[in-house]
Amino acid sequence: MRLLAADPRPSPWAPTGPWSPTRLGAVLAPVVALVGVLAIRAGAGGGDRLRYELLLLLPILWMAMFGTRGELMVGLAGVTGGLVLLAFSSPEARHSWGEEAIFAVVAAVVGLTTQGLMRQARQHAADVSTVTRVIRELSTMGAGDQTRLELCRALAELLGAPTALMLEPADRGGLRVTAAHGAMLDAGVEVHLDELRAEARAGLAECRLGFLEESDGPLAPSRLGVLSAVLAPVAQDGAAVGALVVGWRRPLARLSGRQLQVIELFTAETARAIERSDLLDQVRTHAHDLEAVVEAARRVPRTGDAHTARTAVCEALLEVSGAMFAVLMEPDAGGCLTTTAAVGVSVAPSRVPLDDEASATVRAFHSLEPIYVHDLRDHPNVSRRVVEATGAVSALWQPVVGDGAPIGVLVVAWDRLRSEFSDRAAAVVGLFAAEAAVAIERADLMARMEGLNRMLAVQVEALRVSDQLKTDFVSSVSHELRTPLASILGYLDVLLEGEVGEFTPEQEEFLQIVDTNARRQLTLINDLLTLSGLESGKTTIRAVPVDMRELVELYVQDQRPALSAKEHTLELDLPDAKVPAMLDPERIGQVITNVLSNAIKFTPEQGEIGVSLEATPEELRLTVRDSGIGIAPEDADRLFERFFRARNASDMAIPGTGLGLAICKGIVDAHGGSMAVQSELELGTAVTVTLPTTPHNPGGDT
Amino acid sequence: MDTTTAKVLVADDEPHLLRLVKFRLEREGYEVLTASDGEAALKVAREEQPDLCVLDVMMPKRSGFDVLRELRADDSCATMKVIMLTARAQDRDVDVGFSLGADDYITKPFSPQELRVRIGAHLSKR
Repeated sequence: MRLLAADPRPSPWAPTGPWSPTRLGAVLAPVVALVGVLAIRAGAGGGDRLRYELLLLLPILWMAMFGTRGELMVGLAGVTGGLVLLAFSSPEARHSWGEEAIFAVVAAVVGLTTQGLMRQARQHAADVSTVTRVIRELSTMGAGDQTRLELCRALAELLGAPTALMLEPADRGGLRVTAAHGAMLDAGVEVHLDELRAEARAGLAECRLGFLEESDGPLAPSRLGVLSAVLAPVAQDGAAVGALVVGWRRPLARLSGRQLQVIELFTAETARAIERSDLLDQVRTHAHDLEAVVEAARRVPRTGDAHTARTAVCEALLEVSGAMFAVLMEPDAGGCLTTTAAVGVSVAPSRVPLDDEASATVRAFHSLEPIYVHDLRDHPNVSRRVVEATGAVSALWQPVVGDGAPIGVLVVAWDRLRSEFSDRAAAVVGLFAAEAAVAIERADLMARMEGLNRMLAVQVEALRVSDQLKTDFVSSVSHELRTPLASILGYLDVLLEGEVGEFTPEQEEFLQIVDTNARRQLTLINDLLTLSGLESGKTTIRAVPVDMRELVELYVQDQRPALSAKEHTLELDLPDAKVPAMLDPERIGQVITNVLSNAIKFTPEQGEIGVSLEATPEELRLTVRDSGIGIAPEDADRLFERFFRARNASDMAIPGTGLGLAICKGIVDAHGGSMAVQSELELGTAVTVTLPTTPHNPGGDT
Repeated sequence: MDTTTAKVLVADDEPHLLRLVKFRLEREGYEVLTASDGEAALKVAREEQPDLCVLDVMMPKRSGFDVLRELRADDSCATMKVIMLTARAQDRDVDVGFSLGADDYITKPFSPQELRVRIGAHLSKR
């Protein structure tokens, strides 16, 4: 980057076109002189003549201020010519040749002096503008060392000097060369103040510029490779914060005004530029560190147990901080800080009581402030054994704070003195602590969640086992109940068929009663078994292509005797065409039978029963209406519960187990369908069964 | 073959039920052999070569399914008609029975007609 590429810009008042104001002035000067001559010849008085002569000075001044030296000379020649003409032209001339000559000399002196002054002013303005620009550009560049070097180069170039150095305070007192342009000294060289002459030291202290001499140690001109050099202190708020050194390869007794001005400008601006540049560097470093920290923290695994996550936190910390080891201490249930993770060190886990104020760990934990120990080797509270065993030289106790409360302390140690690698590592640890808090809390949450999940799985398994036991129990109970019933019913059949002899009518009637009740019990057992099978998913739905219209007709036909027994009228409303569907005909038949027999059962004699079937390509809807006793609204919701019986059904002693609709719903659900009931007490009930024509789960649990 | 002279083995651990089935089938004119557990049923089936077996599923020693499996693996009994008879009317049992090669399945309690019709049907099909 060549910052000084642009030369001082030409004045806006001196454009270079053919009719520039200065050229115009050069032309106008003789014209004005001629006009004056003509006016004087026309008989103007002596006072007027002086006025014309003064008028001649105006183009001179104009050209002196804005023109080049050549243009000024043209103007002066024109004016001199005019004066000569004047001297010749007027017979009543009061001015002699000598007077005109003096006037011409005055004009020339005025013009040349003005031009010199103007040039100086312009040079100064250009210097200020250059310095300001250079400083501004440099201080936005950041990258401190490069900025310093560019400053030196710019300064040397402005002053026409081959050498420029920048000196800044060193860590251990004195000055350090932070940039060197064209010098025999390299950056990094340290200059002890003792090596300088008392006068130079005083100049530094009072921010005064002075020449360097051969007795000024490393800053002697000969050691810089020059013949003369100045030391210019850089001041900020009245105090020297460094110095600039400029050297020339020729002997200089003193500096020109311009040189002084340039140096003054530079020293005034340098402190700010360096400060800004360093600040920018810091911001960039900080941003870079933050990025590294976030990136490292991001790699801490989100799954796995709490210990793994903590170890990963310590590993990530080592990576970003360059530390030799990192240990995480967290409070335990016993009121102590305990090692929960350690990376890079193999010390035995330690416990520190939370009230042990001598412990740096405890103090950092309570105060939420990091504690630095620059040099562990002579620190009273640090075990010499630990220091020797680990080789740690400096350490940092960084509290880890989550939600305003401390959750632990990260102990980080380096095998170097911390100052040697700046506070940056400590700042990184501080940044990282926030990420560590998040990672640790997340890991604990995950661990707790996994624990809960495991507990839940155990409970679910226990429930599953218990459900299986229940199902098995129902299955075996039903077997045990059915076996004796099989004998009872079998022998009753033999008896009632008269295979082993005739009975009296009364004997036969009683045997019939036994038979009826045994069959009722069988139905109940079968219902229970079916329901248990449906609930456990053991009952299989064997979906086959059927004509639903035919199925409805078939099962309605079965109920004809019951219908006529109670003298009900039946209105059957079926589609004209077949209603193809995929379903289990036996199970759906069970549903039709159940719903229809309910309608018959709960409708007083001579009632009206309606069965209708509607079909769309997707679903079919079977509705069974009756003019029966209806269902109370408060009972309607519980209708499909096992063993639930509507209050009016129980009150009227209508027989039933309360299993029928539960079974129906189980079957319809297994087909992917739904059941709905609409009812009004005393008026009747409508039960609607909606089934998909192709069931969602045609195979059941097969 | 005249179905009425056919030989039928009935196996059930429930003596009352065994007696009932025997009674029914003898009334139909069948020659009825009985067994009260799975091992006995297998032994009788191999020795007597009945035309048809009515096997209870839940029996001591060997279950009806075990007996069925053995019979199907035995060349001399592989084509013997077998009707499973059980109180375990759950669908899974039916599936197991058919997959092992049962010819039919009757659940307890059964109606005498059902038993008669099914046995008759299977014997006439031979």
